[in-house]
Amino acid sequence: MFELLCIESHFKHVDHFFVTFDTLDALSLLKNEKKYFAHHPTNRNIKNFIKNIFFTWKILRREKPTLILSTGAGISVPFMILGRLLKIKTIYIESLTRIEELSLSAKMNAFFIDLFLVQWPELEDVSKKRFYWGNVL
Amino acid sequence: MIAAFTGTEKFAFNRLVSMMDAISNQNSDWGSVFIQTGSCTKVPKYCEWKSLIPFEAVCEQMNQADVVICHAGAGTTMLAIRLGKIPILVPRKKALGEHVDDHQLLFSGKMEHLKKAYVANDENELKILLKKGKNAFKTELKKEPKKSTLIVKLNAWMEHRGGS
Repeated sequence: MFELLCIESHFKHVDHFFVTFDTLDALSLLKNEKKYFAHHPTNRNIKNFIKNIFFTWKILRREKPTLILSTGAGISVPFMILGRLLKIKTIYIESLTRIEELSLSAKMNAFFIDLFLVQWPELEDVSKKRFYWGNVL
Repeated sequence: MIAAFTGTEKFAFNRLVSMMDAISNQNSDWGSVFIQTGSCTKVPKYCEWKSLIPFEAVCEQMNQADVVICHAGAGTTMLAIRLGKIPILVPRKKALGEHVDDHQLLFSGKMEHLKKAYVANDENELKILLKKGKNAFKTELKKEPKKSTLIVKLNAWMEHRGGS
């Protein structure tokens, strides 16, 4: 989430909402923001993954966004997949911590992403439409 | 003062708790030692600690600390750097059940290579780094924020491809 807030100048002037987990840092960082809390943890957690699929569908049908921007991780998967099915533009920015290998979330999302950005040149692969445009450092 | 952070991962990072307990118990050069323990099951004996603290409290701890020590998570690392610190990163390791894989090892190595952080893999390495002195762990904060090419290109993409 902190990585997403590092690029907030890109979206803070348009209608937007956040999807994250109800952790202490999320509550304080997003206290003045519209937000929804997904089921967590999501790391290798099939039960929460399935619950989040229904959660995501409900949010997308209610809010009808025109763009989904995500920095991962597990919660991004249902949003990228269902977002693409609903013809919503999808942007995925791989985590700053991923230097040489994509995260599992990124691998699962790859087919459903309109714009796939990585934060280190080592992961750029233009043939697979994976681009490096700089990072949040 | 030393402030350490294990982040909010579901995986416990008891190894960092042990390292900070050893530092706190054996070395009084740095004053008090605080650790945010997160999901750790080990309770510190010699450090001040809390499992979770609000974001504002994290910032306050980092600002006040002479040294910031943290797991090599993106958010914690970036926050320390943005607050003008050169943190000591202790990467979580998959083999020890501390994360799903070893991406923190690569990330901490990258940050060290860019001279934005130091890396300590164990207590001995941490003690050696702490001999550097206070000035080694802070940097000048930039008055003007760096222009982000990522944001410039994102905005350009949006103009051409639609969405809002």
